[in-house]
Amino acid sequence: MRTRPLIDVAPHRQLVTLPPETSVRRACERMREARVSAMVVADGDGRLLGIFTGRDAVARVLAEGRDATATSISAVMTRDVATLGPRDVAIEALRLMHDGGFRHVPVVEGGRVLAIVSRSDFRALERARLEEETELFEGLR
Amino acid sequence: MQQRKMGDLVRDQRPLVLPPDATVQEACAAMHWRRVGAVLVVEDGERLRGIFTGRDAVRCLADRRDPARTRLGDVMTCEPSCLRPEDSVIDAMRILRDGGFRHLPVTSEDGRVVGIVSRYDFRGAEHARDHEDIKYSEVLR
Repeated sequence: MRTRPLIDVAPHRQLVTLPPETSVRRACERMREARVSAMVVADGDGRLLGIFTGRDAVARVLAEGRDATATSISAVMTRDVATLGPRDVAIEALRLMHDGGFRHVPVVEGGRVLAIVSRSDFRALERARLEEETELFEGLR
Repeated sequence: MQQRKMGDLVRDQRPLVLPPDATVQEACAAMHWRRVGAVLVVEDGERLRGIFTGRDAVRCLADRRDPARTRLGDVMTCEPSCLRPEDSVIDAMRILRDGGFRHLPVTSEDGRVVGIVSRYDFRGAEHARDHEDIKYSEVLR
C-alpha cells in the first residue's frame, strides 16, 4: 500500500501567511474570509514564527478579555509548533496531531512554510491506520 | 458488526452548557477550562437553543464585538443540526461530512441535551464503511 507524502495531502489553495504584528482583529477577519481555522504567522522571508488558531482566539484573547485590535497575534499565537517536511509520510502528521492533541501541522522546508494541513485533509484510510496503531477506544470527555 | 447508536457514544457525557444570557467571555473561559471546542446554549430545563464554537468566537472578534457585553444568544448558531440517541453513528458522520461543521449535539425527543460529538470522535473503521470509502476498506482486506 503506497504511503502518501505529506505535500500531497496539503490543500491546493494558496497559503495565506500573516506578519507577527498583525492585530488579532485583522487576523480573525482574514480567517473568516478565507474560511480557515488556522493562520500561519511568518516573517518577511516566509519563515515560520507560529500559528494562530480558533483555539488561541478562545483561550488567549476572549477568555482573558484582551483587546483584539490592540493585541498582536505574536502575543497570543502558538509558538513551538510541531512541523513536518513535504516528503515526510502523511500519516506522521496524523500521529503528531493525535499525540499532541492539536489539529494543524505546518509543512516546512528549509525553515520556510509551504503549506498547512489539518485533520480534515486526511482520508479515512489514514485515520483508520492510525487507530490500528494506537488501539483507540472511544473515550469521550 | 452492529451499527453503534449515538446514545451509546455519549452515554456518560456532561457536555458544557450555558444559558443564552451568558457572555461570550464567560463561554470562552469555560471552553478553555473544560478543554472543549463548543458550548451548547440551553434554556428551559436544558433544551437546546444553539451552539457556540471556536469558529463563532473568531467571527465575534472579526465583527468587533465586546466579548464581556455580548450575549451568547446573539451570536450562537441557532437550532443546529442534531441527532437523537437512537440514531446511528454512521448517520452522524455523514451529516458532519456533508454539513461542513465539526460538532453535532444529541438531544432527546423533547429537545433536551443528551450529549455532543465532534467529527474526529469516530473510529476510522466507521469512516471506511461509509459509502464513498468502500474501495479503501476493500484494499485493507
